[in-house]
Amino acid sequence: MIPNQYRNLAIFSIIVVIILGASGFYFFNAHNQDLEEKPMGEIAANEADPAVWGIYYPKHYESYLENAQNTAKPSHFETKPYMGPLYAGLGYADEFNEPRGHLYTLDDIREVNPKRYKTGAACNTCKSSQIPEIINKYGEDYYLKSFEEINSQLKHPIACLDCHDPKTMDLRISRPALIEAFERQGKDITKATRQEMRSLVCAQCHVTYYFLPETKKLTFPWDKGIKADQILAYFDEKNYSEWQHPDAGTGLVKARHAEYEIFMGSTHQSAGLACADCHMPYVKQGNVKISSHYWQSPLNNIEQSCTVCHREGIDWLKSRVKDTQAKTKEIQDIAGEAVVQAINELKVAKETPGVNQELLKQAQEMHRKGQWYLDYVMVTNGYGFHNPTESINNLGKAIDYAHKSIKLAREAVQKAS
Amino acid sequence: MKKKLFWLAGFAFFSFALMLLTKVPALGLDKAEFCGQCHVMYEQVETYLHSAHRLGANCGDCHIPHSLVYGATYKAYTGTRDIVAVLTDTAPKEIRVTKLGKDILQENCLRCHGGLLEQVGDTRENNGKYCFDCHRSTPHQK
Repeated sequence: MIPNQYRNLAIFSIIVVIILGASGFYFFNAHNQDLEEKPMGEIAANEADPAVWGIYYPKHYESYLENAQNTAKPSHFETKPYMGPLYAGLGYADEFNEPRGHLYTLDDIREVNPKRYKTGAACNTCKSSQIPEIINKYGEDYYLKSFEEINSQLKHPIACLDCHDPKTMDLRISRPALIEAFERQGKDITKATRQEMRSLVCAQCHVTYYFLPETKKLTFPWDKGIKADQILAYFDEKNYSEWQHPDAGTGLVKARHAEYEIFMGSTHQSAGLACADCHMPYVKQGNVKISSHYWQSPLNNIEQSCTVCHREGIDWLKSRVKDTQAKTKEIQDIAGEAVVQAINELKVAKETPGVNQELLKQAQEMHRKGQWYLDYVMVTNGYGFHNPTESINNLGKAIDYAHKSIKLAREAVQKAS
Repeated sequence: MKKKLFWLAGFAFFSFALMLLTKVPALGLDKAEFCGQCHVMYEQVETYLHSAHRLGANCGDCHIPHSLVYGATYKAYTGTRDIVAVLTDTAPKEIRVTKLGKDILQENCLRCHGGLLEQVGDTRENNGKYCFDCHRSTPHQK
């Protein structure tokens, strides 16, 4: 078919084309492989022990272990003496220390006065990475168990499994309360984006919560929204009080570290940041970057947490944060003293024979509101920095309600029959 | 008719070859000295020339796709668009990167820094953040 004189040329050409094609294919593949480290094996689906995860992810585990350095647990009462009178009637009035972080969750809760364990098993919910499996095992009965029955089963503190899927290492929500709170708001948490998840894994615990009166089920009071006034409206609608203040006689609700709630809508959050961006900054370890798993104040590593975006210099940045925090603390102290004064006036009114009950009741309502707005800011970490305007706004309301309460309590005494 | 088609095809091929030429490094069409000729880019060029990236990357290394054909095509498109904007004095006061431009940038960040990010992965995935959302002054001011 091919004339003889061209046959050799044709064969030669085909061989050249094949060699060129094969080498091209080889070089393309050799030089265009995605750089990635293949996982070394698989971590068991319910592996709660962080040391096992550490075998596969040594750099992350190393930074997780750095949390052990966080050993200080100062009492809140040293800097906020008004907290004692505010919490009269609660365990918090006896002792209220700052916890030492994720590594010490079990040690810290085992050190509190055992008479506070009567609250029940739910107190363990954010103390150990074994809890999701235990909740699976007991179902709703988990919340009705005694504190000791659950606590005695716990070996590992907050660790990898709380936030990560052991198979894919993707972020995951392990606590039912957050998933259910989203459902009640008509939102699907599985639709959350990567950036939202970088806050939501924290929101499994760093939120305000309460225990349902009958079932003791741990619940987020978010049905009407996550802001202070919306949560208070939720409690008011249910006519729910966590305890009655022994001196003021007011039925009160207790706020808990509403870090996620207050951060939402803040300058940093609306700019697209998540908790992890400041509290788990990317750090270089050798030739790779990892998310730091040493959770601490970003002020301790401004070079990694702040200056990536803000190039203004460490001293200036620190002074801006300190300024916000000092001003929040100043107005919080004023609010704290005002609410304590309201409690004192209510005590006088309550003990006055024939006191005007209608006015006393109104004064107590104002006290309930004032203490709520104060508490929502006071027990949230960061001294207002998570959302300065909202913190100051809530404290302003607290002062106003406290003054209204004082005025009404005095009127109730004046109009005693 | 056949002749016309031949010339047309020849012209198209020649234009395409010319377009590919824009990616030839020796011509310097990716360098800040070229891109910065238009006064609208002064701020970016001056700050870039003070950054560490000036030692290892020029404008095109970040802003133009790396591959020859796609890169040259994109460059021809944006280059033409920018020239028209400058000539008609419709260049925006505040230059903003397009969505497509962002994705090209991100690919180029990872092209060089992929090893560093092998544990972190592409931060852009699933509605995440681009590298330069945080590193917003790297390698030049907005």
